[in-house]
Amino acid sequence: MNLLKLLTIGLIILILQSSIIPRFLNVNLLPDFIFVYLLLTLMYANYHFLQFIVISLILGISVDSISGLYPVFDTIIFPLTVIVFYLVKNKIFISNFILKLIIFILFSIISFFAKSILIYFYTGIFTIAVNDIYYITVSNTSILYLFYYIREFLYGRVFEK
Amino acid sequence: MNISFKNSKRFVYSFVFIIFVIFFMLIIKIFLPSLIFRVEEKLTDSVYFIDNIFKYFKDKDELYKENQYLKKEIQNLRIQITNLSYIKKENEILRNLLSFKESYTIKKWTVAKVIAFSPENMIKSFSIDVGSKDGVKPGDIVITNGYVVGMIGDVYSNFSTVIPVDDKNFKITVRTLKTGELCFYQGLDKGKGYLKFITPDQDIRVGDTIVTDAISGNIPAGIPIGIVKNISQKEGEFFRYVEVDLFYKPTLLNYVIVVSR
Repeated sequence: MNLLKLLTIGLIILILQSSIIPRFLNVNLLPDFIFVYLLLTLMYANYHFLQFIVISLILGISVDSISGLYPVFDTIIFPLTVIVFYLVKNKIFISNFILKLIIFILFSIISFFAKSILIYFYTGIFTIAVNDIYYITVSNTSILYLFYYIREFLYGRVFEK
Repeated sequence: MNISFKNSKRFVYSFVFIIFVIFFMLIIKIFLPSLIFRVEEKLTDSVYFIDNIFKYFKDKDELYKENQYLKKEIQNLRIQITNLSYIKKENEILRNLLSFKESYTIKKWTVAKVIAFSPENMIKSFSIDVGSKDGVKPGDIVITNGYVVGMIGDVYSNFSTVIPVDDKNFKITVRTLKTGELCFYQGLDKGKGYLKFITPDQDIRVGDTIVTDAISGNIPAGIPIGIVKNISQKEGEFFRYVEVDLFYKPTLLNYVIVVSR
């Protein structure tokens, strides 16, 4: 898949997540679709490290510009996720679905903690809602599970270069 | 004058005959037209019936087209009904919003529609469709259904972002409604906030309503924010911790009022 297409899909997901999905689901917490998208591209697409850094930076800046409260929030988290993922990728050969699932859960939890720490630096209040961690992790991994089966159905042609 | 019996009999017969003729004519005059009309009606009906049978075959296509047109017309009217009911509902919501305005001394205000929510779960901001062109400035208070929902953060030309009342960045001076104590409010978490720097001698009660105060800029005083839910004091700390349950429900947001400072 072309890098520009990958970025365009990311931006479309961002727009959907901010405008239409909250209206339909009507809940306080939503699955972190952009983060899930970033992790899925990291797992399934074969691009250079720097290309992923560029994608994550553009997505992070877009999220921050829509969110508005903090000038740099996902602009830090997304590239950091890419860096940490590449560090893990160099150590472990990620082939098994269970392994992918574990990495997905770990990354969701780590990103949640990292975001809480960032908010603490901005506001001086550190809070961790256990229910939020549980909900976001479960919803993110369920999207991975769904994607895995859809990809199997489409013979793995979705993220091929 | 000599009138014979025979002549008189003839005269009577002729008289009876005339009476009969008149009577017959009257009967005909009364009953015959209706009879004729009835026959004519039946005849015309039968003619129409036959004509319709011919027309049915002749104008089948036209009828089909007319039916299709009418079906489309029904659909259009149904859409119009749906639109009108939506407009009616929208009108009611806006009327409720504006009725709130009469309760407070608001100098300048703008009605705005919520267009987007933050895509980041950890950030609870949302965007509205008014900006600097509409006279919106950072720090303006955002209200809906009579309670505070947030404060304007970033302002662009056509839209602006709102810091919700339960966000950690939302800080405002408030007053308790019953006891009139002045306090500092800060957002905490989903649907929650807390009052800062509450000294032990301040009269804060559970269930008391927290309202805005004019001391923090030109905000109209007395707009509700939430209710005091819990008061606690940690060991070794001077200030008390007062938790506030907010009226703000992010999932119900549709239209809001931006009150200019």
